[in-house]
Amino acid sequence: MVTTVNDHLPKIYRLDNAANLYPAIRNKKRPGVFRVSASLTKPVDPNTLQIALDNTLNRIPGFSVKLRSGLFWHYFVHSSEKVLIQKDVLNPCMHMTMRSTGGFLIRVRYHQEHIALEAFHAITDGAGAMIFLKTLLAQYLTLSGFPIPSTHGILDCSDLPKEEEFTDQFHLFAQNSPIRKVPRSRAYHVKGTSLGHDDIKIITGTIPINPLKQTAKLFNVTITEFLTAAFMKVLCDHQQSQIFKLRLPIEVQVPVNLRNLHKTKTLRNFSAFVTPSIDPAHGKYEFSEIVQLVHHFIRYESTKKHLQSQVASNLRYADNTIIRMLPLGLKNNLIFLGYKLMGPAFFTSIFSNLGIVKIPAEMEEHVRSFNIILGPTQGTSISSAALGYKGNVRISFSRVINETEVEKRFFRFLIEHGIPVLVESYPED
Amino acid sequence: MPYCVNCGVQLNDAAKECPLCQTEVLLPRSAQPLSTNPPTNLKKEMLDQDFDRGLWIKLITITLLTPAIISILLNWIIKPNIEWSLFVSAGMIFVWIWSISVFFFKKNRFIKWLPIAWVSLLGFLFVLENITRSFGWFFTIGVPITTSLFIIVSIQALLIKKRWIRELQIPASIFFGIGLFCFSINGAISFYKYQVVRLNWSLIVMITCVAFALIGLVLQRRPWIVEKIKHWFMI
Repeated sequence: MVTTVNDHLPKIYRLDNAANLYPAIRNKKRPGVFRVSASLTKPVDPNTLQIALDNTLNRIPGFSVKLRSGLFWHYFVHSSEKVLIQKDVLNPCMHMTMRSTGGFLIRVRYHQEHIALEAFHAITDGAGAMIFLKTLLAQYLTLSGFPIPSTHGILDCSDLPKEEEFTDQFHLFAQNSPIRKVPRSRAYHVKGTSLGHDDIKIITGTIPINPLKQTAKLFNVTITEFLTAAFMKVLCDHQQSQIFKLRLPIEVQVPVNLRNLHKTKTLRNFSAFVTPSIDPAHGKYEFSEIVQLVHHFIRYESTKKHLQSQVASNLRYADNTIIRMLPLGLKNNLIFLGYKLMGPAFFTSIFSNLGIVKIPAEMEEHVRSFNIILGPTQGTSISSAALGYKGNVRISFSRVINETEVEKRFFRFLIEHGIPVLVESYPED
Repeated sequence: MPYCVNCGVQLNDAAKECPLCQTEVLLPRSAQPLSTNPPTNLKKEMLDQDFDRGLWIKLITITLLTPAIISILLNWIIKPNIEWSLFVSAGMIFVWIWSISVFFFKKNRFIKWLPIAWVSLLGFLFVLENITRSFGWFFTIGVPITTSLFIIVSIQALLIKKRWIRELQIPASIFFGIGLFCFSINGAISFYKYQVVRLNWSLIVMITCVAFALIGLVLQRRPWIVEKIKHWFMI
């Protein structure tokens, strides 16, 4: 934070360490946008939603910002202009243009009973966006005559914004020396017929949590580990089914919410990645082998010390004096080049599990379901995200190719393991 | 609740087909959709709204018009007997047509722009011939070379656009096109100089281009090599 308009409303924000990447690489193919949404039991009233959004943004001004370019770094400027709600579209998570968002980095959309928040990844991560959405929903329901208490992560809109909510926690978390990165080989990428840069297809599967938990328990792993292993198995089989069999490693990025390891109320990016991988060149992997590999890999890489070192190695570049002195244009090109060389080439896909969404009982009766969708990422034609709510896990696959082979294999895999799946395509009813 | 007979997954009551395999749901128990408005009333978000066409047309027009007017004025004030400003003005008009015409098409811009570019280039060469008063080269060199370039580029663009050629077939086709274009330059110049079409240096270029094109076509038939190259370069 650099300057403040008053004690509680920051005017200018520095981008956090993870956020510095997104403005440099974003374009129509890589919008860096994700979406969290909720389905209510009644149709949404746009007027009430707009008032609820205004109140929420007063409480969380860190989301009411516009991106500006400085001489050395990008920065956010708080804007007192209104963020206007928008009608939902068939192709969510598209590039945020000046015209479509008025320069803001979030979009709040509605359609029938659905309310969705789309956010540019530079301002927040999945956990931060979910807090914003829950606060927005609580405000909306309160204004609609159903008072909701400010518990379960919901922020009280009558409170003033807190400084901690806008601070970059990466520097406080990175205590250890940087990790020594092991050189990795290029990963397998799912190929298919491109949908074009302005389209995305989404298929969501709803899975009852109990059979999923029981099956995961058979392998002595968590639900995240089980689903990640299932996804990797499916990707591995998909690679082997190609006419020209490739034997490239399958690497899936799994974001880890650092808030679980370092208590903070920040709403900005505060997550790291673990990347379990299998190399089919070592031979054919059975699911039982993959699930154990994933289990040990995630357990090892998500230890606090390992993640602290990983964050420290990410900060090393941003804190480098020479890099800091470079003008923004040059820095952007360097970041872009680094991303092209070190980015999506080394992972096959992303599987983000937001965990169980908890809301007050007063709110539960009005909210039918939650969902999370990852936007298009260049290099990875398919990505997936999951969350749990009311005894169900919803997994969304977003793809920028026409073929549904991976999703088909994934859901069939779950059914073969005795887990029923309800499949819907976007837009959901 | 309906099931997909192919995938085995449960489907929404309102689903008409499986989202995974597009298998039709034959007997859904409830044909009643869950919501009053069908979800298909959502529209697709258009992404190219940031581009202000009018502003760019004005900017380009002012940028090109200013030097043209200044040169005409200077020409008129300093040396009215020499018409050097015509070169500048003709050049600016030519560049203006090339740059402005792109903005008038929303789809298939390049293919639609090509004939305009071809005609305007011919017009520019014709004006040049008349200003310089060096008659004779426009029809013998200018028209054949420009037209062959237009035809070759149009065919290439069409082949790529219609996806009749893909991956390494594209550079192979471009190499072949370069060879053909060199033929047309060589032929037109020799006809202008000796009144007969003689191909010499362009044959060497053509042989080289055909060699490269063949490499591309052979590699195209070995998809695992293409896959490797794609992974190396992250295409």
